[in-house]
Amino acid sequence: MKIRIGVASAALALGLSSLAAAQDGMAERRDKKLKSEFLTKASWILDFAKACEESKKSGKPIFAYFTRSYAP
Amino acid sequence: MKFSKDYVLYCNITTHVETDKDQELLEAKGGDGFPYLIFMDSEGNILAKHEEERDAQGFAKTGEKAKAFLALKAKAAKGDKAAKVDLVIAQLELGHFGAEEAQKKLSGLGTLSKAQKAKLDGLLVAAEIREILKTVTREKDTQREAGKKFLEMKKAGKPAPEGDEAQPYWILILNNAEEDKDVTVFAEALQALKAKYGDNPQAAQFFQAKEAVLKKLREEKK
Repeated sequence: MKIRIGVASAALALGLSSLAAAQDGMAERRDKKLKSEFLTKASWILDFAKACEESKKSGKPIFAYFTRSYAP
Repeated sequence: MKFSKDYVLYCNITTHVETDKDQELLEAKGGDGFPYLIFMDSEGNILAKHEEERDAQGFAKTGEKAKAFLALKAKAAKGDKAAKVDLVIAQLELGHFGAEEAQKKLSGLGTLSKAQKAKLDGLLVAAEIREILKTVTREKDTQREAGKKFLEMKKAGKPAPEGDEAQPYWILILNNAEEDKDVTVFAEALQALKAKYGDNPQAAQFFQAKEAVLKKLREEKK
């Protein structure tokens, strides 16, 4: 029983560390995307709630551009 | 640039980082690929979907559609009956609600014009098809069931869809017809698909295979 728990814990730890590494990779790609020229050249809001708030305040509609960073 | 002065620019990035916000927003707003460009009001309701060229002129054109929707909404709010009908039709087209709710909203708004009725009929069919497609999974039973419902809609005289719904509609009808060895329906579905996608070189192999199926079905019927 103790050995099985040990093996299970090791597998879980390995799985979790792989997941963490994958997440780090995703975060890196996101950070790279955030430095894109189109984002830095204009005032893009990246938080939806804030965009809605700004739209309500200014009376302007929202132009939403959906893109991704996890793949090219 | 004038465009950025008339609109609030919002960028949503699907990152797959678990802790990042708004990761489900793409799907919630009807997007299924990238890039996806829409105009929304301050409550997140879609005002227009960008289907033009991705350049300044194209964005400005769609922006005008968004402004036209807001103007229509204001006109309907003032009590204009025709505008109220047009607004429901526009909202249905943008996916604000489904077929059932659209019909509830339209009852009591009086007689529709010929043009309004034609547009509405097409949109109601598309909305109904989208609802049915939500039930379709990789399980063959769900696909068969959906194809069966589409054929029933067709037999009931409802117009076939012209937009994005056309492909799954005809494919599922085609698949059922092949299984049921219904030559007439198979031929009709194949013809409809060829009319829409026959020029696409990527579909050549598919059509070649289905022509062979049709030939076999006709021979078996003799």
